[in-house]
Amino acid sequence: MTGMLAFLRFLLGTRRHMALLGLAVIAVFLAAALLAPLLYSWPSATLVNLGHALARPSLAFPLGADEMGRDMIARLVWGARMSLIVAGASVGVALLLGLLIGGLCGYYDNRASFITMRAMDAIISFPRILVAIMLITILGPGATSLTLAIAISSVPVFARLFRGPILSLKSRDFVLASRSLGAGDMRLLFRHVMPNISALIIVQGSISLAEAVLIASGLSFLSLGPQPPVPEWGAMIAQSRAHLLSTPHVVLVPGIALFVLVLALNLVGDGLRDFADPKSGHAGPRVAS
Amino acid sequence: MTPLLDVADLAVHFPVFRGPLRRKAGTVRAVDGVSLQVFRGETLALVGESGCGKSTLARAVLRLQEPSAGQLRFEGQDLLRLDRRAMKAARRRMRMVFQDPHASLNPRLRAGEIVGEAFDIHGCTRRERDAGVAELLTLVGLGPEHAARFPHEFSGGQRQRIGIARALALHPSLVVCDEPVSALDVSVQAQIVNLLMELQERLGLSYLFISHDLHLVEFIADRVAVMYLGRIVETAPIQSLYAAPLHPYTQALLAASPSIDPDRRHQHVVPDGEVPSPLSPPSGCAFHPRCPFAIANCRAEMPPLLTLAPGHDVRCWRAGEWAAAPQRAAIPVGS
Repeated sequence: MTGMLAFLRFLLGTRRHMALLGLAVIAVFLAAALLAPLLYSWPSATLVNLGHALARPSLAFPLGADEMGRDMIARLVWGARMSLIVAGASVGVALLLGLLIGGLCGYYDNRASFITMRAMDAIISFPRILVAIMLITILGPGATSLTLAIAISSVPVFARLFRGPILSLKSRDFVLASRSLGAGDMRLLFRHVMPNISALIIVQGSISLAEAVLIASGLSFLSLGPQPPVPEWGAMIAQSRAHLLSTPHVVLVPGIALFVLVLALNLVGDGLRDFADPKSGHAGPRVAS
Repeated sequence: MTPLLDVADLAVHFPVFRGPLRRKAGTVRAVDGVSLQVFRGETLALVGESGCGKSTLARAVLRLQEPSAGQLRFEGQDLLRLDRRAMKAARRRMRMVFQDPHASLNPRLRAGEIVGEAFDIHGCTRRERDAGVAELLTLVGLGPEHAARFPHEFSGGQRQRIGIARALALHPSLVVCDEPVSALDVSVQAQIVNLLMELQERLGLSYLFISHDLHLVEFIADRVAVMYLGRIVETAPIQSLYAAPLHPYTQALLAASPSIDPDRRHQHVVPDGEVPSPLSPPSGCAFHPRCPFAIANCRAEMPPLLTLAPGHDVRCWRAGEWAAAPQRAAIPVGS
């Protein structure tokens, strides 16, 4: 919590208005996702009502209705919930596995870790979306397999990213000092090495969230994600794309939501990176000109 | 009297891998057959140039670096034969103070957590730990109120005090000090050295004190071991080493160390050339390419460690000549 406050103070103090805006946008999406069941009932987002098909925005339907007559704003809010859960869970799983693999391969620098890291390199050499599609083909489409596919396709990136700093940290004097007191490997790894890369974990995690949201929508667009009638932004765009010219709002609403959320996550990620390492390129107090 | 620490023929070899297939290209003999003893309550200084293997030896003694060969006895136990549990127990009794007080304290932990880690590792209660931390911080000249601060809130000297407090937790008998003051300001060095000597007296500690500063060593040590390229070349009580150094390398070291006392200015006999690579040490006596007194035998055969006076051992073929003429004016001027 104090970290969050310090981050806010940093953003305000260095006039990083874009990151602040991103933070506000994320807060709105997060609130919508959390409160979705209270705001709009699940049936209102999923039940077909052809009487309202392709309704223009109005008081009854603030963002209009889709080609099945479902309230767009209800679907948008439930879609936000889906996107954030899939992105959050996949990044969480990927961070955990990435830290475990990167940590062990960095800490134990032996033949097994060499082979593991080369395997990671092999996975990285395929485009991420291809790896995810392969995994979903095996697991079958759905929210859970979408989450797992995104997570597993980003594990190698995390593992490589975390291995380097862990490799260098483990030979630092304070780790040696702790070992000389009788500390075991797990204590060294989790008390002395891991906490010293926490900034890297937070920054990389936040930037990966944006990527995960985008990939989740992309895969859903290809109908590899949650199946209809579950609202998901990418799937919404795919289903309604025939109506792009006649009633553009059905495609634009989820498209713009996706764009804004990904942009906001990226802006906050940049802010966090500067916060964690003020020496990195984009830093320095930004003076309004 | 049995020594507290008895190191016999200890060796630490590092394989060197080169090329894309990481083929073994050779071996660095960082420590190559070192024997030394530390007795209870004394300070043994280990001196030598950088790269001679001092720090590797220190780490091997504490089994932070696994030795390739040799024996290691500490408090009567054969350290190299201990299993994990027994080794952990032995670590209560032997500690290390590190050279760089900035690198040796985890920046994420508070001073109290750093000093108290030994208590956590060895299963003490929270109450025991907190009491121990307060006592240790006071012992090293800080106060219990410092426990809640992070390392970056301390000066270099204070950080080294924290490092010393950490080393003294749970009453060790042996403390290996790896150049504990060389990273500090000169004014702070004296304070830390005095603290170490005071603690030795109060707690009956034994020190293996690694240094390259001969004046400091003369002040703090009881005995000195001089190391060159992974081997001990001379061991002697402090007075006899400074009064009559027998190995040409020790003589060169003493001569190279500047003195403010005009009566003690030695003739400069700085050896020619660089320290040879420990990857391919010279044949025979490793010092012979730089030694102004080298004879044919020095190239051919490694001299044994000869005892020329009680407690004074030298590894030099011509040591007998030097011992016979301690006031040697025979230094070939200009060599």
